[in-house]
Amino acid sequence: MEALMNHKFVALLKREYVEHRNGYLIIPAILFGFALIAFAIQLMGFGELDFDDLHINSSENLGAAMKRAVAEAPEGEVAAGVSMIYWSTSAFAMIALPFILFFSLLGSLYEERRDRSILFWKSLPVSDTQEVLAKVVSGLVIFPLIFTVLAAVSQLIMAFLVSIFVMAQGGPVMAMWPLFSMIDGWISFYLYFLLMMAWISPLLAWLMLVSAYAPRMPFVFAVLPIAALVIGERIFMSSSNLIQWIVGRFVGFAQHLNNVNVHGPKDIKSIIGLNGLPDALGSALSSGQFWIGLVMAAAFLWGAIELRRQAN
Amino acid sequence: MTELVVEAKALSKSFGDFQAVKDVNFTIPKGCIMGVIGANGAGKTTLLNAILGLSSFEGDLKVLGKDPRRQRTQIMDDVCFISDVATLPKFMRVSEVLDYVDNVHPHFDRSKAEGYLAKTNVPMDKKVRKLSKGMTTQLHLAIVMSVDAKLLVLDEPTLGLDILFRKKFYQNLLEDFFDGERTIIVTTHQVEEVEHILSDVIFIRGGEICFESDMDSLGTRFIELMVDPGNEDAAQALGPISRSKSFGKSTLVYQDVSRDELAKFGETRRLGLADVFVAVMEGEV
Repeated sequence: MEALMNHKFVALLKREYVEHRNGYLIIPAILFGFALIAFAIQLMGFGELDFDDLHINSSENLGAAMKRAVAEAPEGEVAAGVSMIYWSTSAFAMIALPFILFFSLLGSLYEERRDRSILFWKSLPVSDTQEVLAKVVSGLVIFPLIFTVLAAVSQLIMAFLVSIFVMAQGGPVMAMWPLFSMIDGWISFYLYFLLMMAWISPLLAWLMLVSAYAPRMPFVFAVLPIAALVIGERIFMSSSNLIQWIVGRFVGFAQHLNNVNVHGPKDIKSIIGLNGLPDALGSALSSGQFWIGLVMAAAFLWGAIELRRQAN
Repeated sequence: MTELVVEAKALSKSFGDFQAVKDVNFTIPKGCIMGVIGANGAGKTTLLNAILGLSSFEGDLKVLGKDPRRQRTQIMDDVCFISDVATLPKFMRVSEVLDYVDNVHPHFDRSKAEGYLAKTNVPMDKKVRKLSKGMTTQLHLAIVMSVDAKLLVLDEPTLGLDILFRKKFYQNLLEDFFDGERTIIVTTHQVEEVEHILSDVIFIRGGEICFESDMDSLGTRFIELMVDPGNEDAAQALGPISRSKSFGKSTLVYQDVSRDELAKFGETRRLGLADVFVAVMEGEV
Protein backbone atom coordinates (compact mmCIF):
# COMPACT_ATOMS: atom_id res chain seq x y z
CA MET A 1 0.00 0.00 0.00
CA GLU A 2 2.78 2.37 0.97
CA ALA A 3 4.62 1.59 -2.25
CA LEU A 4 1.48 2.22 -4.28
CA MET A 5 0.99 5.55 -2.55
CA ASN A 6 4.53 6.56 -3.45
CA HIS A 7 3.99 5.35 -6.98
CA LYS A 8 0.89 7.53 -7.24
CA PHE A 9 2.72 10.50 -5.78
CA VAL A 10 5.49 10.24 -8.37
CA ALA A 11 2.81 10.12 -11.10
CA LEU A 12 1.26 13.27 -9.61
CA LEU A 13 4.63 15.04 -9.59
CA LYS A 14 5.18 14.06 -13.23
CA ARG A 15 1.77 15.48 -14.12
CA GLU A 16 2.58 18.73 -12.31
CA TYR A 17 5.83 18.94 -14.25
CA VAL A 18 4.01 18.41 -17.56
CA GLU A 19 1.51 21.12 -16.64
CA HIS A 20 4.17 23.61 -15.55
CA ARG A 21 6.94 22.70 -17.99
CA ASN A 22 6.92 26.23 -19.42
CA GLY A 23 7.27 27.98 -16.07
CA TYR A 24 9.52 25.47 -14.38
CA LEU A 25 11.89 24.68 -17.25
CA ILE A 26 11.47 26.53 -20.54
CA ILE A 27 11.23 30.13 -19.33
CA PRO A 28 14.11 29.85 -16.81
CA ALA A 29 16.22 28.02 -19.42
CA ILE A 30 15.64 30.85 -21.91
CA LEU A 31 16.56 33.44 -19.29
CA PHE A 32 19.72 31.57 -18.34
CA GLY A 33 20.49 31.42 -22.07
CA PHE A 34 20.05 35.19 -22.45
CA ALA A 35 22.41 35.83 -19.56
CA LEU A 36 25.01 33.51 -21.10
CA ILE A 37 24.76 35.28 -24.45
CA ALA A 38 25.09 38.65 -22.75
CA PHE A 39 28.13 37.37 -20.93
CA ALA A 40 29.69 35.97 -24.11
CA ILE A 41 29.27 39.36 -25.79
CA GLN A 42 31.02 41.02 -22.87
CA LEU A 43 33.85 38.52 -23.17
CA MET A 44 34.27 39.41 -26.81
CA GLY A 45 35.15 42.89 -25.70
CA PHE A 46 31.89 44.74 -26.15
CA GLY A 47 31.56 45.46 -22.46
CA GLU A 48 33.38 45.38 -19.21
CA LEU A 49 33.82 42.92 -16.39
CA ASP A 50 33.56 43.61 -12.71
CA PHE A 51 35.46 41.07 -10.60
CA ASP A 52 34.57 42.76 -7.32
CA ASP A 53 37.73 44.70 -6.39
CA LEU A 54 39.32 43.88 -9.72
CA HIS A 55 37.68 46.06 -12.34
CA ILE A 56 38.50 45.18 -15.90
CA ASN A 57 37.37 47.57 -18.58
CA SER A 58 37.87 45.25 -21.47
CA SER A 59 38.34 41.53 -21.39
CA GLU A 60 41.43 41.77 -23.57
CA ASN A 61 43.44 41.64 -20.40
CA LEU A 62 41.31 39.04 -18.55
CA GLY A 63 44.07 36.45 -18.66
CA ALA A 64 46.59 38.89 -17.26
CA ALA A 65 44.17 40.10 -14.58
CA MET A 66 43.49 36.53 -13.45
CA LYS A 67 47.19 35.81 -13.29
CA ARG A 68 47.65 38.86 -11.04
CA ALA A 69 44.66 37.88 -8.89
CA VAL A 70 45.93 34.34 -8.34
CA ALA A 71 49.37 35.68 -7.40
CA GLU A 72 48.27 38.50 -5.11
CA ALA A 73 44.89 37.59 -3.56
CA PRO A 74 44.83 35.72 -0.24
CA GLU A 75 44.26 31.95 -0.20
CA GLY A 76 40.75 30.97 -1.33
CA GLU A 77 39.65 34.47 -2.33
CA VAL A 78 39.94 33.84 -6.08
CA ALA A 79 38.03 30.55 -5.95
CA ALA A 80 35.26 32.16 -3.91
CA GLY A 81 35.15 35.22 -6.14
CA VAL A 82 35.14 33.31 -9.43
CA SER A 83 32.41 30.91 -8.30
CA MET A 84 30.29 33.85 -7.15
CA ILE A 85 30.74 35.73 -10.39
CA TYR A 86 29.41 32.69 -12.24
CA TRP A 87 26.07 33.23 -10.48
CA SER A 88 25.64 36.27 -12.73
CA THR A 89 24.19 33.84 -15.31
CA SER A 90 21.20 33.58 -12.95
CA ALA A 91 20.48 37.32 -12.95
CA PHE A 92 17.49 37.29 -15.30
CA ALA A 93 16.09 33.94 -14.20
CA MET A 94 16.32 34.94 -10.55
CA ILE A 95 14.03 37.92 -11.23
CA ALA A 96 11.46 35.65 -12.89
CA LEU A 97 11.59 32.94 -10.21
CA PRO A 98 9.31 34.56 -7.59
CA PHE A 99 6.75 35.48 -10.25
CA ILE A 100 6.68 31.94 -11.66
CA LEU A 101 6.28 30.51 -8.18
CA PHE A 102 3.60 33.04 -7.21
CA PHE A 103 1.42 32.43 -10.25
CA SER A 104 1.87 28.66 -10.36
CA LEU A 105 0.72 28.35 -6.74
CA LEU A 106 -2.10 30.82 -7.26
CA GLY A 107 -3.36 28.82 -10.26
CA SER A 108 -2.67 25.40 -8.79
CA LEU A 109 -6.19 24.69 -7.48
CA TYR A 110 -7.99 27.33 -9.52
CA GLU A 111 -7.24 26.31 -13.12
CA GLU A 112 -8.53 22.76 -12.63
CA ARG A 113 -11.85 24.17 -11.44
CA ARG A 114 -11.99 26.74 -14.24
CA ASP A 115 -11.45 24.21 -17.04
CA ARG A 116 -13.44 21.49 -15.20
CA SER A 117 -10.55 19.02 -15.39
CA ILE A 118 -11.05 18.59 -11.63
CA LEU A 119 -13.89 16.23 -12.56
CA PHE A 120 -11.42 14.02 -14.38
CA TRP A 121 -8.87 14.10 -11.54
CA LYS A 122 -11.61 13.23 -9.10
CA SER A 123 -12.76 10.29 -11.18
CA LEU A 124 -9.46 8.61 -10.29
CA PRO A 125 -8.53 7.03 -6.97
CA VAL A 126 -6.28 9.87 -5.79
CA SER A 127 -7.11 11.67 -2.56
CA ASP A 128 -7.46 15.43 -2.26
CA THR A 129 -4.64 15.42 0.29
CA GLN A 130 -2.28 13.74 -2.18
CA GLU A 131 -3.29 16.15 -4.93
CA VAL A 132 -2.68 19.26 -2.84
CA LEU A 133 0.58 17.97 -1.39
CA ALA A 134 1.82 17.08 -4.88
CA LYS A 135 1.22 20.68 -5.93
CA VAL A 136 3.08 21.96 -2.86
CA VAL A 137 6.05 19.65 -3.41
CA SER A 138 6.28 20.38 -7.13
CA GLY A 139 6.26 24.16 -6.57
CA LEU A 140 8.47 24.37 -3.49
CA VAL A 141 10.83 21.42 -3.88
CA ILE A 142 10.96 20.27 -7.52
CA PHE A 143 10.87 23.68 -9.21
CA PRO A 144 13.79 25.07 -7.14
CA LEU A 145 15.69 21.85 -7.87
CA ILE A 146 15.21 22.29 -11.63
CA PHE A 147 16.22 25.93 -11.24
CA THR A 148 19.39 24.97 -9.37
CA VAL A 149 20.33 22.40 -12.01
CA LEU A 150 19.81 25.02 -14.73
CA ALA A 151 21.98 27.46 -12.77
CA ALA A 152 24.70 24.81 -12.44
CA VAL A 153 24.63 23.97 -16.16
CA SER A 154 24.76 27.64 -17.13
CA GLN A 155 27.72 28.16 -14.80
CA LEU A 156 29.60 25.25 -16.33
CA ILE A 157 29.03 26.70 -19.80
CA MET A 158 30.17 30.10 -18.56
CA ALA A 159 33.31 28.58 -16.99
CA PHE A 160 34.04 26.89 -20.29
CA LEU A 161 33.66 30.15 -22.25
CA VAL A 162 35.84 32.04 -19.80
CA SER A 163 38.46 29.29 -19.91
CA ILE A 164 38.80 29.65 -23.67
CA PHE A 165 39.46 33.38 -23.30
CA VAL A 166 41.81 33.02 -20.38
CA MET A 167 43.71 30.30 -22.20
CA ALA A 168 44.01 32.43 -25.32
CA GLN A 169 45.35 35.26 -23.20
CA GLY A 170 47.81 33.01 -21.41
CA GLY A 171 46.07 33.19 -18.03
CA PRO A 172 45.61 30.53 -15.32
CA VAL A 173 42.83 28.30 -16.76
CA MET A 174 42.60 26.13 -13.67
CA ALA A 175 41.69 29.18 -11.58
CA MET A 176 38.52 29.47 -13.67
CA TRP A 177 37.33 26.06 -12.39
CA PRO A 178 36.88 26.36 -8.62
CA LEU A 179 34.72 23.23 -8.75
CA PHE A 180 34.58 22.64 -5.02
CA SER A 181 33.41 26.17 -4.40
CA MET A 182 30.94 25.98 -7.31
CA ILE A 183 29.34 22.74 -6.10
CA ASP A 184 29.18 24.12 -2.58
CA GLY A 185 27.35 27.10 -4.05
CA TRP A 186 24.78 25.00 -5.92
CA ILE A 187 23.93 22.78 -2.96
CA SER A 188 23.79 25.65 -0.52
CA PHE A 189 21.65 27.74 -2.91
CA TYR A 190 19.11 24.94 -3.04
CA LEU A 191 19.10 24.33 0.68
CA TYR A 192 18.86 28.06 1.49
CA PHE A 193 16.03 28.27 -0.97
CA LEU A 194 14.16 25.49 0.84
CA LEU A 195 14.79 27.22 4.16
CA MET A 196 13.49 30.47 2.72
CA MET A 197 10.38 28.65 1.42
CA ALA A 198 9.81 27.36 4.94
CA TRP A 199 10.02 30.91 6.29
CA ILE A 200 7.59 32.22 3.67
CA SER A 201 5.38 29.10 3.89
CA PRO A 202 2.35 30.82 5.50
CA LEU A 203 2.18 33.24 2.56
CA LEU A 204 2.67 30.45 0.00
CA ALA A 205 0.01 28.29 1.65
CA TRP A 206 -2.28 31.34 1.69
CA LEU A 207 -1.94 31.48 -2.10
CA MET A 208 -3.04 27.84 -2.33
CA LEU A 209 -5.98 28.43 0.00
CA VAL A 210 -7.12 31.31 -2.21
CA SER A 211 -6.52 29.15 -5.27
CA ALA A 212 -8.88 26.53 -3.86
CA TYR A 213 -11.46 29.13 -2.85
CA ALA A 214 -11.58 32.01 -5.35
CA PRO A 215 -14.62 31.79 -7.66
CA ARG A 216 -12.68 33.93 -10.15
CA MET A 217 -9.69 36.32 -10.29
CA PRO A 218 -7.56 34.55 -7.67
CA PHE A 219 -4.96 37.33 -7.84
CA VAL A 220 -7.48 39.84 -6.54
CA PHE A 221 -8.70 37.44 -3.85
CA ALA A 222 -5.13 36.80 -2.74
CA VAL A 223 -3.81 40.35 -2.66
CA LEU A 224 -6.79 42.60 -1.97
CA PRO A 225 -7.75 41.33 1.52
CA ILE A 226 -4.15 41.58 2.72
CA ALA A 227 -3.71 45.04 1.19
CA ALA A 228 -6.98 46.13 2.83
CA LEU A 229 -5.84 44.82 6.22
CA VAL A 230 -2.46 46.53 5.94
CA ILE A 231 -4.05 49.85 4.97
CA GLY A 232 -6.82 49.47 7.56
CA GLU A 233 -4.29 48.80 10.30
CA ARG A 234 -2.34 51.88 9.24
CA ILE A 235 -5.43 54.13 9.24
CA PHE A 236 -7.33 52.88 12.28
CA MET A 237 -4.56 51.68 14.57
CA SER A 238 -1.67 53.75 13.23
CA SER A 239 0.48 50.65 13.31
CA SER A 240 2.04 48.42 10.69
CA ASN A 241 2.39 45.05 12.38
CA LEU A 242 1.00 43.02 9.51
CA ILE A 243 3.29 44.41 6.84
CA GLN A 244 6.25 44.10 9.20
CA TRP A 245 5.30 40.50 9.84
CA ILE A 246 5.10 39.83 6.10
CA VAL A 247 8.47 41.46 5.46
CA GLY A 248 9.83 39.45 8.38
CA ARG A 249 8.91 36.26 6.53
CA PHE A 250 11.09 37.27 3.58
CA VAL A 251 14.13 38.31 5.60
CA GLY A 252 13.67 35.65 8.28
CA PHE A 253 16.11 33.19 6.77
CA ALA A 254 18.86 35.80 7.06
CA GLN A 255 17.98 37.17 10.49
CA HIS A 256 21.06 35.61 12.10
CA LEU A 257 23.27 37.72 9.85
CA ASN A 258 22.75 40.97 11.75
CA ASN A 259 26.07 42.47 12.87
CA VAL A 260 28.19 40.12 10.80
CA ASN A 261 31.35 41.67 9.37
CA VAL A 262 32.21 40.74 5.82
CA HIS A 263 35.51 41.30 4.02
CA GLY A 264 35.73 39.97 0.48
CA PRO A 265 34.26 37.02 -1.43
CA LYS A 266 35.61 34.35 0.91
CA ASP A 267 33.74 35.80 3.90
CA ILE A 268 30.54 36.02 1.89
CA LYS A 269 30.97 32.43 0.74
CA SER A 270 31.44 31.29 4.31
CA ILE A 271 28.08 32.82 5.20
CA ILE A 272 25.99 31.87 2.21
CA GLY A 273 27.82 28.60 1.54
CA LEU A 274 27.24 25.28 3.23
CA ASN A 275 29.36 26.41 6.18
CA GLY A 276 26.79 29.03 7.07
CA LEU A 277 23.82 26.70 6.79
CA PRO A 278 23.85 25.28 10.35
CA ASP A 279 23.64 28.83 11.73
CA ALA A 280 20.73 29.72 9.44
CA LEU A 281 18.92 26.51 10.30
CA GLY A 282 19.57 26.86 14.03
CA SER A 283 18.34 30.42 13.94
CA ALA A 284 15.12 29.29 12.24
CA LEU A 285 14.47 26.32 14.52
CA SER A 286 14.99 28.44 17.63
CA SER A 287 12.66 31.16 16.37
CA GLY A 288 9.05 31.13 17.61
CA GLN A 289 8.04 33.13 14.51
CA PHE A 290 9.37 30.36 12.27
CA TRP A 291 7.26 27.71 14.00
CA ILE A 292 4.16 29.92 14.11
CA GLY A 293 4.57 30.37 10.36
CA LEU A 294 4.74 26.61 9.79
CA VAL A 295 1.60 26.04 11.88
CA MET A 296 -0.23 28.75 9.91
CA ALA A 297 0.90 27.16 6.65
CA ALA A 298 -0.37 23.78 7.79
CA ALA A 299 -3.74 25.31 8.70
CA PHE A 300 -4.06 27.05 5.31
CA LEU A 301 -3.13 23.83 3.49
CA TRP A 302 -5.67 21.88 5.51
CA GLY A 303 -8.25 24.46 4.42
CA ALA A 304 -7.20 24.10 0.79
CA ILE A 305 -7.56 20.30 1.00
CA GLU A 306 -11.04 20.59 2.56
CA LEU A 307 -12.13 23.10 -0.09
CA ARG A 308 -10.93 20.80 -2.84
CA ARG A 309 -12.80 17.91 -1.26
CA GLN A 310 -16.01 19.93 -1.65
CA ALA A 311 -15.26 21.27 -5.12
CA ASN A 312 -16.83 19.87 -8.26
CA MET B 1 -30.75 -11.13 -1.53
CA THR B 2 -29.29 -9.05 -4.34
CA GLU B 3 -26.15 -7.09 -3.64
CA LEU B 4 -26.80 -3.34 -3.69
CA VAL B 5 -24.32 -1.10 -5.46
CA VAL B 6 -26.01 2.13 -4.45
CA GLU B 7 -28.27 2.54 -1.46
CA ALA B 8 -29.84 5.96 -0.73
CA LYS B 9 -32.06 6.77 2.21
CA ALA B 10 -33.59 10.21 2.69
CA LEU B 11 -30.98 11.72 0.41
CA SER B 12 -31.21 15.52 0.09
CA LYS B 13 -29.03 18.26 -1.28
CA SER B 14 -29.65 22.01 -1.07
CA PHE B 15 -27.89 24.96 -2.64
CA GLY B 16 -28.87 27.81 -0.34
CA ASP B 17 -32.66 27.95 -0.41
CA PHE B 18 -32.90 25.75 -3.47
CA GLN B 19 -33.43 22.07 -2.76
CA ALA B 20 -31.98 20.23 -5.74
CA VAL B 21 -32.63 16.73 -4.40
CA LYS B 22 -35.54 16.19 -2.01
CA ASP B 23 -35.52 13.33 0.45
CA VAL B 24 -34.94 10.65 -2.15
CA ASN B 25 -34.91 6.88 -1.49
CA PHE B 26 -33.67 4.36 -4.02
CA THR B 27 -31.43 1.37 -4.49
CA ILE B 28 -29.45 0.22 -7.48
CA PRO B 29 -28.78 -3.52 -7.43
CA LYS B 30 -25.66 -5.11 -8.86
CA GLY B 31 -25.86 -6.03 -12.52
CA CYS B 32 -28.41 -3.51 -13.70
CA ILE B 33 -28.15 -0.79 -16.30
CA MET B 34 -30.05 2.09 -14.80
CA GLY B 35 -31.24 4.98 -16.90
CA VAL B 36 -31.79 8.24 -15.03
CA ILE B 37 -34.09 10.41 -17.11
CA GLY B 38 -35.17 13.95 -16.37
CA ALA B 39 -35.34 17.43 -17.83
CA ASN B 40 -32.45 19.87 -17.45
CA GLY B 41 -32.23 21.06 -13.86
CA ALA B 42 -34.27 18.11 -12.56
CA GLY B 43 -31.43 17.12 -10.23
CA LYS B 44 -29.78 14.31 -12.22
CA THR B 45 -26.26 15.65 -12.02
CA THR B 46 -26.69 16.64 -8.37
CA LEU B 47 -27.73 13.09 -7.60
CA LEU B 48 -24.79 11.63 -9.51
CA ASN B 49 -22.36 14.06 -7.85
CA ALA B 50 -23.50 12.82 -4.45
CA ILE B 51 -22.97 9.21 -5.52
CA LEU B 52 -19.49 10.03 -6.85
CA GLY B 53 -18.39 11.87 -3.70
CA LEU B 54 -18.14 15.17 -5.57
CA SER B 55 -20.45 17.08 -3.29
CA SER B 56 -21.82 17.07 0.22
CA PHE B 57 -25.38 15.92 0.96
CA GLU B 58 -27.75 15.15 3.79
CA GLY B 59 -29.12 11.72 4.49
CA ASP B 60 -27.67 8.28 4.12
CA LEU B 61 -25.87 7.12 1.00
CA LYS B 62 -23.71 4.07 0.46
CA VAL B 63 -21.84 3.30 -2.75
CA LEU B 64 -20.35 -0.21 -2.81
CA GLY B 65 -20.86 -0.14 0.94
CA LYS B 66 -18.78 3.03 1.41
CA ASP B 67 -19.59 6.63 2.30
CA PRO B 68 -18.84 8.87 -0.72
CA ARG B 69 -18.33 11.90 1.53
CA ARG B 70 -15.28 10.46 3.27
CA GLN B 71 -14.22 7.53 1.09
CA ARG B 72 -14.17 8.92 -2.44
CA THR B 73 -10.62 7.71 -3.02
CA GLN B 74 -11.44 4.09 -2.12
CA ILE B 75 -14.70 4.21 -4.07
CA MET B 76 -12.86 5.38 -7.19
CA ASP B 77 -10.82 2.18 -7.19
CA ASP B 78 -14.02 0.49 -8.38
CA VAL B 79 -16.08 3.29 -9.89
CA CYS B 80 -15.56 5.10 -13.18
CA PHE B 81 -17.39 8.13 -14.38
CA ILE B 82 -17.69 10.55 -17.25
CA SER B 83 -19.42 13.81 -16.47
CA ASP B 84 -21.39 15.79 -18.98
CA VAL B 85 -18.61 18.23 -19.87
CA ALA B 86 -15.26 17.60 -21.50
CA THR B 87 -12.88 17.41 -18.57
CA LEU B 88 -9.66 15.85 -19.82
CA PRO B 89 -6.59 17.97 -18.98
CA LYS B 90 -5.80 20.11 -22.03
CA PHE B 91 -2.09 20.44 -21.29
CA MET B 92 -1.38 16.70 -21.57
CA ARG B 93 -0.65 14.64 -24.65
CA VAL B 94 -2.91 11.66 -25.24
CA SER B 95 -0.08 9.27 -24.30
CA GLU B 96 0.61 11.29 -21.13
CA VAL B 97 -3.03 11.00 -20.07
CA LEU B 98 -2.79 7.21 -20.50
CA ASP B 99 0.53 7.16 -18.57
CA TYR B 100 -1.03 9.07 -15.72
CA VAL B 101 -4.16 6.92 -15.43
CA ASP B 102 -1.99 3.82 -15.72
CA ASN B 103 0.13 5.03 -12.80
CA VAL B 104 -2.64 6.03 -10.42
CA HIS B 105 -5.37 3.49 -11.21
CA PRO B 106 -4.89 -0.08 -9.98
CA HIS B 107 -7.54 -1.48 -12.36
CA PHE B 108 -6.61 0.29 -15.60
CA ASP B 109 -5.67 -1.82 -18.61
CA ARG B 110 -3.54 0.40 -20.82
CA SER B 111 -3.28 -1.99 -23.74
CA LYS B 112 -7.07 -2.22 -23.85
CA ALA B 113 -7.35 1.58 -24.05
CA GLU B 114 -4.72 1.68 -26.79
CA GLY B 115 -6.73 -0.97 -28.63
CA TYR B 116 -9.85 1.17 -28.56
CA LEU B 117 -7.93 4.25 -29.65
CA ALA B 118 -6.31 2.39 -32.53
CA LYS B 119 -9.78 2.08 -34.03
CA THR B 120 -10.28 5.86 -33.88
CA ASN B 121 -8.47 8.84 -35.38
CA VAL B 122 -7.20 10.03 -31.99
CA PRO B 123 -3.43 10.66 -32.34
CA MET B 124 -1.31 9.55 -29.35
CA ASP B 125 1.21 12.39 -29.61
CA LYS B 126 -1.23 15.31 -29.82
CA LYS B 127 -2.19 17.40 -26.84
CA VAL B 128 -5.78 17.12 -25.64
CA ARG B 129 -6.08 20.86 -26.39
CA LYS B 130 -5.63 20.07 -30.10
CA LEU B 131 -8.26 17.32 -30.27
CA SER B 132 -11.76 17.91 -31.58
CA LYS B 133 -14.60 17.56 -29.13
CA GLY B 134 -15.51 14.21 -30.61
CA MET B 135 -11.93 12.92 -30.27
CA THR B 136 -11.71 14.11 -26.66
CA THR B 137 -14.86 12.19 -25.85
CA GLN B 138 -13.55 9.12 -27.67
CA LEU B 139 -10.37 9.28 -25.60
CA HIS B 140 -12.31 9.63 -22.37
CA LEU B 141 -14.60 6.74 -23.26
CA ALA B 142 -11.60 4.57 -24.20
CA ILE B 143 -10.10 5.23 -20.75
CA VAL B 144 -13.32 4.53 -18.90
CA MET B 145 -13.99 1.33 -20.82
CA SER B 146 -10.51 0.08 -19.98
CA VAL B 147 -10.94 0.30 -16.23
CA ASP B 148 -12.09 -2.87 -14.56
CA ALA B 149 -14.79 -1.09 -12.56
CA LYS B 150 -17.75 -2.41 -10.62
CA LEU B 151 -19.82 0.70 -11.30
CA LEU B 152 -19.73 2.94 -14.33
CA VAL B 153 -21.50 6.29 -14.21
CA LEU B 154 -22.12 8.04 -17.53
CA ASP B 155 -23.56 11.54 -17.49
CA GLU B 156 -24.47 12.41 -21.09
CA PRO B 157 -21.52 10.33 -22.35
CA THR B 158 -22.04 10.77 -26.08
CA LEU B 159 -22.75 14.48 -26.19
CA GLY B 160 -21.23 15.97 -29.32
CA LEU B 161 -20.51 12.65 -31.03
CA ASP B 162 -21.86 11.67 -34.41
CA ILE B 163 -24.46 8.98 -34.67
CA LEU B 164 -22.12 6.26 -35.96
CA PHE B 165 -19.80 6.57 -33.00
CA ARG B 166 -22.70 6.78 -30.56
CA LYS B 167 -24.10 3.50 -31.85
CA LYS B 168 -20.67 1.87 -31.71
CA PHE B 169 -20.10 3.11 -28.19
CA TYR B 170 -23.27 1.61 -26.78
CA GLN B 171 -22.57 -1.58 -28.65
CA ASN B 172 -19.06 -1.75 -27.14
CA LEU B 173 -20.50 -0.97 -23.76
CA LEU B 174 -22.74 -4.01 -23.94
CA GLU B 175 -20.26 -6.34 -25.59
CA ASP B 176 -17.00 -5.48 -23.86
CA PHE B 177 -17.88 -3.84 -20.61
CA PHE B 178 -21.17 -5.12 -19.34
CA ASP B 179 -21.03 -8.68 -18.11
CA GLY B 180 -23.90 -8.90 -15.64
CA GLU B 181 -21.47 -8.45 -12.73
CA ARG B 182 -21.04 -4.80 -13.41
CA THR B 183 -23.46 -1.97 -12.93
CA ILE B 184 -24.03 1.06 -15.12
CA ILE B 185 -25.86 4.31 -14.40
CA VAL B 186 -26.49 6.46 -17.44
CA THR B 187 -28.18 9.79 -18.02
CA THR B 188 -28.85 11.12 -21.49
CA HIS B 189 -31.18 13.22 -23.57
CA GLN B 190 -30.98 10.75 -26.43
CA VAL B 191 -33.40 8.40 -24.73
CA GLU B 192 -34.02 6.34 -27.88
CA GLU B 193 -30.35 5.40 -28.02
CA VAL B 194 -30.12 3.87 -24.57
CA GLU B 195 -33.62 2.44 -24.43
CA HIS B 196 -32.64 -0.99 -25.71
CA ILE B 197 -29.69 -1.40 -23.33
CA LEU B 198 -31.37 -0.30 -20.09
CA SER B 199 -32.64 -2.81 -17.57
CA ASP B 200 -34.19 -0.25 -15.21
CA VAL B 201 -35.24 3.36 -15.35
CA ILE B 202 -35.82 6.24 -12.94
CA PHE B 203 -37.56 9.50 -13.86
CA ILE B 204 -36.58 12.59 -11.91
CA ARG B 205 -38.49 15.82 -11.66
CA GLY B 206 -37.91 18.75 -9.31
CA GLY B 207 -35.38 16.79 -7.28
CA GLU B 208 -37.74 13.89 -6.68
CA ILE B 209 -37.99 10.44 -8.17
CA CYS B 210 -41.42 10.51 -9.75
CA PHE B 211 -41.31 7.11 -11.41
CA GLU B 212 -39.24 3.93 -11.34
CA SER B 213 -39.65 0.68 -13.18
CA ASP B 214 -37.76 -2.14 -14.81
CA MET B 215 -37.78 -2.01 -18.58
CA ASP B 216 -39.49 -5.38 -19.06
CA SER B 217 -42.67 -4.36 -17.34
CA LEU B 218 -42.62 -0.90 -18.90
CA GLY B 219 -44.01 -2.36 -22.15
CA THR B 220 -46.98 -3.93 -20.43
CA ARG B 221 -47.63 -1.08 -18.03
CA PHE B 222 -47.84 1.69 -20.61
CA ILE B 223 -50.05 1.26 -23.65
CA GLU B 224 -51.08 3.74 -26.29
CA LEU B 225 -54.53 3.44 -27.78
CA MET B 226 -55.61 4.98 -31.07
CA VAL B 227 -59.33 5.17 -30.43
CA ASP B 228 -61.71 4.05 -33.17
CA PRO B 229 -64.38 6.68 -33.96
CA GLY B 230 -67.37 6.37 -31.63
CA ASN B 231 -65.42 4.80 -28.74
CA GLU B 232 -64.02 8.05 -27.33
CA ASP B 233 -66.25 8.24 -24.26
CA ALA B 234 -65.76 4.60 -23.31
CA ALA B 235 -62.00 4.95 -23.75
CA GLN B 236 -61.95 8.14 -21.69
CA ALA B 237 -63.77 6.34 -18.89
CA LEU B 238 -60.77 4.00 -18.42
CA GLY B 239 -58.69 6.95 -17.17
CA PRO B 240 -55.86 7.70 -19.63
CA ILE B 241 -52.85 9.55 -18.23
CA SER B 242 -52.42 11.65 -21.36
CA ARG B 243 -54.23 12.36 -24.57
CA SER B 244 -53.48 13.86 -27.97
CA LYS B 245 -54.92 13.87 -31.48
CA SER B 246 -53.27 12.60 -34.61
CA PHE B 247 -54.65 11.80 -38.07
CA GLY B 248 -58.09 12.86 -36.77
CA LYS B 249 -58.03 10.13 -34.15
CA SER B 250 -57.73 10.51 -30.40
CA THR B 251 -54.56 8.92 -29.04
CA LEU B 252 -54.70 8.03 -25.35
CA VAL B 253 -52.00 6.65 -23.09
CA TYR B 254 -52.87 4.33 -20.21
CA GLN B 255 -50.89 3.18 -17.22
CA ASP B 256 -51.61 -0.24 -15.73
CA VAL B 257 -54.70 -0.98 -17.80
CA SER B 258 -54.81 -4.38 -19.49
CA ARG B 259 -54.12 -4.50 -23.20
CA ASP B 260 -57.10 -6.84 -23.86
CA GLU B 261 -59.47 -4.34 -22.36
CA LEU B 262 -58.06 -1.47 -24.41
CA ALA B 263 -58.06 -3.46 -27.65
CA LYS B 264 -61.86 -3.35 -27.67
CA PHE B 265 -61.78 0.41 -28.41
CA GLY B 266 -59.14 0.63 -31.08
CA GLU B 267 -55.58 -0.14 -32.06
CA THR B 268 -53.03 -0.57 -29.22
CA ARG B 269 -49.31 -0.03 -29.37
CA ARG B 270 -46.51 -0.33 -26.80
CA LEU B 271 -44.83 2.94 -25.97
CA GLY B 272 -41.21 3.89 -26.40
CA LEU B 273 -39.30 5.14 -23.35
CA ALA B 274 -39.38 8.74 -24.56
CA ASP B 275 -43.16 8.59 -24.95
CA VAL B 276 -43.55 7.02 -21.51
CA PHE B 277 -41.45 9.82 -20.07
CA VAL B 278 -43.57 12.48 -21.75
CA ALA B 279 -46.81 10.74 -20.74
CA VAL B 280 -45.72 10.36 -17.11
CA MET B 281 -44.56 13.96 -16.88
CA GLU B 282 -47.75 15.27 -18.47
CA GLY B 283 -49.92 12.90 -16.50
CA GLU B 284 -48.64 14.22 -13.24
CA VAL B 285 -49.25 17.87 -14.00
